[in-house]
Amino acid sequence: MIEMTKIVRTISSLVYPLTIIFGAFMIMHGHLTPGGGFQGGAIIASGIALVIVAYGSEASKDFFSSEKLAKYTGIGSMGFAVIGVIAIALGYAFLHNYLLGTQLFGYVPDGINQGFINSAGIEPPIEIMVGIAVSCGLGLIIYMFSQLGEVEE
Amino acid sequence: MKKGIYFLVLLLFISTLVFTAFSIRSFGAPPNSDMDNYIIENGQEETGANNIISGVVYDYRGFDTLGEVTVLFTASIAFMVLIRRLND
Repeated sequence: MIEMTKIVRTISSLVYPLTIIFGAFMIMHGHLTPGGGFQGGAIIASGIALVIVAYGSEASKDFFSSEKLAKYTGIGSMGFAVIGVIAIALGYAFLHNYLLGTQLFGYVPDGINQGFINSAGIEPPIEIMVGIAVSCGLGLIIYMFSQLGEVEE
Repeated sequence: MKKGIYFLVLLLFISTLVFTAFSIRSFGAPPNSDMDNYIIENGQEETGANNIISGVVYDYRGFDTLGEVTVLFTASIAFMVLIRRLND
């Protein structure tokens, strides 16, 4: 995949930080607004795809590496399982919401609330882990596809 | 002769589709709504999340979401291993 013109490269380098920030916002506010880990991760992966398409597969080797993307995919999906196993260590069922009514960045509200950022117990940590796994997993697939196109030329 | 048989089969197929489309249950009227009503009434109180879809996906059905993430992890890692073989 060859790099595109200077216009496309300039615009994409302006747009892709905003795309990644919007994806991070959607992951962080998944328990309050529409969206969540999967949707925000897909938005971040689309930002990665924008960089790869605009700069070409040769230059995108400087931005990404397949080892790092694979490592963070594993960290995300293993962190989800670890959050679930902590509930077993505390004496509840697997993936029980053990953070409700405890202290984490202030009192975590147990019940109907106005929508605080630290509400909903273990949902925001799980969403962050899912967001890391989905964004790096989809980014890894897009990156490896671009490298495959380079080989066949 | 052959064209007539094809036309009959096509007519049967289309009439089946149209009959199904008209006899389908109207939108928003499921056969069993006990679970839906329970989640709509108690979901916000039990999970503490304002987004009830998030409450279902990450709290009530958290194990299902763990399986989805595992599927995505397996797919991306297997794809990376396959393409690395082709690159060498």
